[in-house]
Amino acid sequence: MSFSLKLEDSRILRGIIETLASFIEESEFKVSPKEFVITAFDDSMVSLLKFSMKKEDFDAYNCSKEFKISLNLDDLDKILKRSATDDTIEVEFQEREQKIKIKMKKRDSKRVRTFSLSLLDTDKQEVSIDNLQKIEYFVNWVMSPPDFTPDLLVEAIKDAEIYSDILNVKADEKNGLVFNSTGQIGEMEYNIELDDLPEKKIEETEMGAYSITFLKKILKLASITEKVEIFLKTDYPLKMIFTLLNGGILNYFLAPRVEKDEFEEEEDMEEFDEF
Amino acid sequence: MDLFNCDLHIHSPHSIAVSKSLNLDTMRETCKKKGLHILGTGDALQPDWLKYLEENLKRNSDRAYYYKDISFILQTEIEDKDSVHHVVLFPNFDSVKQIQNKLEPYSKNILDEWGGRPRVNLFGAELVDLISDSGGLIGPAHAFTPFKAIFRQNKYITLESCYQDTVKKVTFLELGLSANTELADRLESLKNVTFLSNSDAHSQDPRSLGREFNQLDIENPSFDEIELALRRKEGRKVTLNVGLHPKLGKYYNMFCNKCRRRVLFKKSKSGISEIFSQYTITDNFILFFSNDPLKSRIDYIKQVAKEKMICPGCKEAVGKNFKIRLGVSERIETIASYKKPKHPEHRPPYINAIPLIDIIRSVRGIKTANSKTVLNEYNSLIEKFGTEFSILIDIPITNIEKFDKNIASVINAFRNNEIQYTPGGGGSYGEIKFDL
Repeated sequence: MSFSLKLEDSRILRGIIETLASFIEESEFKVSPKEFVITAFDDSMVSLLKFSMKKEDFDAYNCSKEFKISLNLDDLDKILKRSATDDTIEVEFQEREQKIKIKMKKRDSKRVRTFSLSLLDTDKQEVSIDNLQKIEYFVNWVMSPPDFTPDLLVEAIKDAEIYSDILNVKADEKNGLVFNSTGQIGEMEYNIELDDLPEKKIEETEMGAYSITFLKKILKLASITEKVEIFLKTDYPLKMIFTLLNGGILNYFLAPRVEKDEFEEEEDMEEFDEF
Repeated sequence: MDLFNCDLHIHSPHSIAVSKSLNLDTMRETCKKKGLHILGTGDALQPDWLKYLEENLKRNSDRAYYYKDISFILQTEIEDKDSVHHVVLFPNFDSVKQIQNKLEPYSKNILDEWGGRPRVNLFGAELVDLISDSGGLIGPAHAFTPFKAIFRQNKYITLESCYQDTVKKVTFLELGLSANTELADRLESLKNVTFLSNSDAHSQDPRSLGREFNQLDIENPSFDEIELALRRKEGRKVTLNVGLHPKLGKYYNMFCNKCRRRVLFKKSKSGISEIFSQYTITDNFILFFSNDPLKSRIDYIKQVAKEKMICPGCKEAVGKNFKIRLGVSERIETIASYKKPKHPEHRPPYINAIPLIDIIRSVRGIKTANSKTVLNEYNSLIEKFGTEFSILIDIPITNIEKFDKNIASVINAFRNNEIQYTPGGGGSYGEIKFDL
């Protein structure tokens, strides 16, 4: 038994795997007759993502039953980085071989480069986003070209990280969206008024503080994204749904960082190197 | 027979990071305050310290070594080829020298000025044979700590796997500051082993030396009597283990291997049942908030045990992946045979103690570990009421109240098991929490 997938444009798969590899060392890939799915916590348990791509969004897709395979994403990323933009990528798996083959071929050429990558024997816990999907959000907005591209968020984050590693996000019916960061040297605020938000639902005042490092990592996808829908709710994860250029969907949940007054901090008392 | 309080593992100024003012006089002074009768000498294989001990310890008719009114047992700690630490007790100076000679070909630092805790190129089983052939006693030191310990993450899970067919010659197991009998008796394989609670002190400070000790029911403080007690023979035995509350130890909780922040789980405000909810990063802690923190912690520990969990603090701050490492409590969780401890009949009670110095420090709100104000107050308490152990356990609270109501209140809370703890980990001690 086996499966094979083909994408004419290598950028999408390369972009997805590059992003995933910045969060996760190893991941399980679920390939079924209908779709290709990766669901994983990042290795620090701060964010969770689910990438899915339907059979019809591939240029070729052959799979007769469900397969679960685990791969080292760093290694896969290294291999895919060897592809050129105009390369066609084919991924093949033969169950008896316990490895995948990745074939890269220029569109108008017969020359094929083939890479293989061994599967990992991993027993990572099954990840489900079912509970997260049940959260009801009362604030969300869409970022899509031409007027409100995801790049605007990238710029806001670049501004914010001058001051802090945390981006504060607030949405309310009066002011629209406010991105803010505060540090010892000063503060930054980026306000997007309601009228400038083409598609939005702002029914409550909601806010949260999020790690800039994690936002930057996920927003690397901006270059291959058609639109991003963002959902905000106080004390709940920030939810971002990326619709990719080829139709793939990435759901990303980022836990809010709460400030330290939630917890009284203790002094480090290290004195001697004792056990 | 009589009861003797003994701390059988300390170090000398010839080990790294040991107080220079540690000597037989300062050790004796602390023993008097703490109520200790027998003390390990520490670092007996180090030539300068050995010479000092030979010149100053006198052997009495009971064959025990004494410095003035305190009894000493010749003792060292040795690191083996697997980076496992072992506590070794010697019957006499001849045995120390014999073992020193036998180990010299296997060690580059045994005769060095800083070779107090020598490293030898021998496996645990080889070391046990060598030590026991010369009449010494040996057992694993601070058995569960994440570094240099027999049961550390990715190392052994039974005594047999380390000591192989020499395991019957292993006389005891030292619990370490972050473990107690409740934790260690979750391992079925340890049911026949005598547990020791020793301080592993690097200083004569009363907060360090004697913070853990064992009460032995023996005829006299000689090596032979101690050996009988550790082997539980001829009516000799360990009757009590006293040690830090494990949460006060430096390695109780899991931590980032790089930034040393401890990872804790707390109840979340939001109603998502999964591990993934909110988090906080402070200078010393990473806190995950979950609707079911107990379950989330267990799931998290499983991944930490597989070395799959990354520190979010380091990832955010320096963009690098540093792994979370199991603390003593989580390591025991992963290798335990039982969900709850099963104490064998021979197991003595264990008192989870709080150093009196720490109680005074907390009551006064003083952060510095070596505050003179705290030490003066400690000395006044000792002068008035007797030993530290008796103040913590025996002296009526009404008497202590006359000295200081707040200190009495905390000691009372300790006796009633009402103290809360912020767990130590990653090299930082835990803290006590109480309302006055």
